[in-house]
Amino acid sequence: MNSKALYEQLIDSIKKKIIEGDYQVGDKIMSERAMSEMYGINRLTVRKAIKNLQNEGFLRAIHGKGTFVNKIPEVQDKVELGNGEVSLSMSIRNGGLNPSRIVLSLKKIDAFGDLKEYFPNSPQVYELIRLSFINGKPYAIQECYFPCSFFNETERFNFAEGSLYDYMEMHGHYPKKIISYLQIKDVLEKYAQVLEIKEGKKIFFFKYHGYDKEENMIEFTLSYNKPEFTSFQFSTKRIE
Amino acid sequence: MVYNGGKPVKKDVYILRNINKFASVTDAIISREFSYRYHVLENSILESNRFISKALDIPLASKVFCFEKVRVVEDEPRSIEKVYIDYKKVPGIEKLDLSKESFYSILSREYGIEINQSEEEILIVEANEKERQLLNLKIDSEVLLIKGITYINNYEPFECFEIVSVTDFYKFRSVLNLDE
Repeated sequence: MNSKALYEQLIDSIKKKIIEGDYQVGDKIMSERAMSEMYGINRLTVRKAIKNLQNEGFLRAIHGKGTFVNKIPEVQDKVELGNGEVSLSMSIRNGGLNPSRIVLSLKKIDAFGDLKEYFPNSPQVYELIRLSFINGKPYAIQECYFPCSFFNETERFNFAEGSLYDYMEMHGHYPKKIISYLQIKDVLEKYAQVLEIKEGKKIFFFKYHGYDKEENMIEFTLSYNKPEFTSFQFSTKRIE
Repeated sequence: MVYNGGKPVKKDVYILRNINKFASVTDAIISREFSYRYHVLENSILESNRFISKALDIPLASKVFCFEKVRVVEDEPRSIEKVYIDYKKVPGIEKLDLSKESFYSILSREYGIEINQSEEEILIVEANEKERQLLNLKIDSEVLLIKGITYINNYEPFECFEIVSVTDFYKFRSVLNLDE
């Protein structure tokens, strides 16, 4: 159940429509009566929501003409991760922010260290390193490793725009189970500059292990996320 | 085991929280066989402000029990934990000794209260002066802030809490199964 008052829920809904472009600046919004009928709520509740949005400057009433979008609300500056979010980019999109990404490197390398254990049938693995931005600011670096024994033709896929999981699905090995670990660590020296963060500062450090439906490990990803853009949210339940 | 000035010091003092399952932090500490104790900072009845009232879904200025403690594990302060609970649910709790065992064990035994689930958020923030002092941190140190609400039956809010922890004390694990 949503614990927010109805007028607050309506405020959130109208703001979301403006942020997502359903309403452009200058557009006329639905009348109080129309919203009241559409959502099955009292007209006074609708009026309260609209009044609040006017007071915040997002809407503007023009006498005799209606209520119009005046400005776009600031989007939230935190990205929520966890709780069923599959990939980093999906989380950012759901947060209503403007994400972009570049590929720093993509190459075939000999499996080393733990990768030999994770991908025992693949002496070589792909190493994909990407830098993500939010609203033009560096946000996270991801190092992804996936086995050459299951995947190929990486050069034909645009990893800056496409998700790793879309690529994996095209190759018949979509992750069915993802085990993730989160801890707080110092930013790695080699990434401090590119993430525009001081050395010694803390970051969220994620490790993802992805498995396909045959329980083969198909992905090992390390992700370094700047704290000012990340709030990790989750729910727990008692399991008897 | 490593040694510091002849004194044995356990390495890697952390607990792994499975975020798919609600569990007591104290139980996790016990399962790793770490020594622990609490230092109680506050144990009082207050009136709720609007933030606590909203989190606990109670009227403004309701009586709430406020309990704050430092969790000392392996002789080092690891976290400061503060909870607010609607006092009607835990009458007389301020008279109990809460310094020696798991808070959730006491709630279960004394009040028959079992926490069913929680909603939590994790952030990294700069430590304030009080936190630096209590956790023996240097200036400019960062801490892990975990805040959330626990729920009892029928998704009824029970407690809102904030945990400020040294950054290496917690690790988190989750398992996500994706449907077809």
